[in-house]
Amino acid sequence: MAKKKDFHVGRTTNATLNAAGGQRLQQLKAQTQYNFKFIEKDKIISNPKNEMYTQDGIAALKESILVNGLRHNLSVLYNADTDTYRLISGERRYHAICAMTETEYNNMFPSGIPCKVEPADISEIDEEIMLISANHDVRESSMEVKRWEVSRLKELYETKKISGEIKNINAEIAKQLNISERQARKYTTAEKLIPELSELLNANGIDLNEADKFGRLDEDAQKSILHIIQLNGSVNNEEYQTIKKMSEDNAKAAKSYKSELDKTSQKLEQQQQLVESLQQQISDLQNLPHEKTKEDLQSEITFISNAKQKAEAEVSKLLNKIDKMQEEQKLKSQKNIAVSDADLKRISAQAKTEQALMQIENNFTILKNNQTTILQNVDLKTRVAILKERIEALANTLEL
Amino acid sequence: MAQVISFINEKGGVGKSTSAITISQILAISGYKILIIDLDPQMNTSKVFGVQDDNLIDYEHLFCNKQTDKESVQKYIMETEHKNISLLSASRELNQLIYKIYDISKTESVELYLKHNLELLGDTYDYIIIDNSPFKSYLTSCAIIASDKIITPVNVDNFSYDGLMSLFDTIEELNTKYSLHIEFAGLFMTRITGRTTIYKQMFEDYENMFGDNFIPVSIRNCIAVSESNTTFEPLLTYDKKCTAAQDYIELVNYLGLMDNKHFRELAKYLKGDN
Repeated sequence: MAKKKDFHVGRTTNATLNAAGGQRLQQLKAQTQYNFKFIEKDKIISNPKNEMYTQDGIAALKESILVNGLRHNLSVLYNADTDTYRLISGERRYHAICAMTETEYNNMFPSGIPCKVEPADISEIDEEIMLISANHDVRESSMEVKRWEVSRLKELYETKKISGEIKNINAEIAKQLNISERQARKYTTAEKLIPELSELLNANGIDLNEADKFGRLDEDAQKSILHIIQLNGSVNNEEYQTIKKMSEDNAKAAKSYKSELDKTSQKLEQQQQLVESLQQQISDLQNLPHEKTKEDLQSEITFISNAKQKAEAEVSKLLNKIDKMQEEQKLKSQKNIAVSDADLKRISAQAKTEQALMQIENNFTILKNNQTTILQNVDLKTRVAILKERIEALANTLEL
Repeated sequence: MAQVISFINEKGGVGKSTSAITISQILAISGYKILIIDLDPQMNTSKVFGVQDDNLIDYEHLFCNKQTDKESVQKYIMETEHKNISLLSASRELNQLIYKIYDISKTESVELYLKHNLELLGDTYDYIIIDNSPFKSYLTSCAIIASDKIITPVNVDNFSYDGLMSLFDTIEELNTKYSLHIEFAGLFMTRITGRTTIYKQMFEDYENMFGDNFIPVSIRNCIAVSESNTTFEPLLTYDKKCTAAQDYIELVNYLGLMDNKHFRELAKYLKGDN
């Protein structure tokens, strides 16, 4: 009987082949995903682009590594020309390791320092993006550093957007720093803060959400916000809303002033042109040859001269109007440098009063809904009675 | 930038040259600009495109030195009588080159230079197809490093599978040495002589073993292949309607190398009398 045919890839009768081709390929793929290598410290060099990140506490970090071991691999990029590895992230860890004695180093890292080797064929821009992202992952950065990271990434991605490589800068930044796109946008708005508020953000005097709100206001409004914070330590929502409204009102007023000015200037130009053309007509009548009688001529000249005088008067009026408008606007803007202390106190008090009233209104409904409870409890009933008297007294002083 | 594709298998006779020539021809007829690089000292591919033994290419220039301008690479490339196909031909000298590269590799990362030099060609070509020698050497390493896609033809036997495993080792060595991320694109079966039991079983095994990296388009053997390899004509010139040609066209489509516009050009050619 003929033998049943049974053929397989990698399988031979004498088993001389490696039949695990699939696994071999998976290994290969894994290597390209995460290329791990032990590298001697002499082959590793610092990256000048890591300047932004602090190098303090190296001695303490060294002690920590000696006790706990190296928790995170360094991230490096291979340079074939010099046969060295440039750090992407891990400057502090690297310097800490270099601070060890030879004995300590050889004990801890007998085969070299464990590193992730990033793919070598990336552009300078991509390298810097990778560097910022890697550092962001392992460091607890201050607000100032985080803001720098976002703005630097923005610059790097701007180039990529121009070349058409990416479409949405904020989305890419969000991906790299593991934050939401909305969060990334807040950093961008925060760049519009006046210097004092910007520093306050860096010092954690205000948070990113507030920075996002304040960044949308004009300079004067931001100065008012700053003033309130300096007085009270913080600014509550009612105060913010009031200033925002004022800022919007100012913007509206400025817009309407401009359009009024433009309209008036246009009218002025038209009148001036009319005056010119009437003058030309008079000159023509007086100088050029024609067939009209002397009386006709005279009456025509008089008629046109009158029209011209009227037009000139109109021009004068318009010029005055424009002057007046500009004067008024100048006075207004001088007054509006920033909200005065008195105004601020008023705004603050108003906001507090509105808040208090809102709370009372809300609580009043609760009382109303619990009438039975109040009726059954002598203490509660007494307290409501006292409240009634107090409100009546207040109403009287307010003459309500 | 051109996409660089290498056909590599350390087993000889599996159909590397035939595949390189035929696929290049299909892409060229479709309108893509192709550069074929023949790195096999046997010179089969070069001779099919009309090259004689005595060509004067300074290979050291291309493989051992980092060039700085496109012209220094372009001057060694010749046009062929086939539209859109240019050739960097092989020569017997390639055997000596291997020793030169070995010498230089002691002090420089010379295996990276071919990639660098080919990049200087920029957009001149749409595809650069490299036909490699079966003999594993520094030339193959240079080609592997320069390639975007590495494709391995295999026959219906385990000799060519063994060649594939050896290729994986080479790729891993180079990735480690130069911290690159060279990827293996896939393998496909060639010289199929019919739907035999062994073919069906091996096909199924390859599919299970390599998943997406197994290209399920096989090239049937047909007499036109042997005949065109005898008359030294590219396959579609010899017989554009033969089964192997059809299979290669399907392979090109499967690999995603051709878009609709170019496919229409090819279709016109296949329909016509030329």
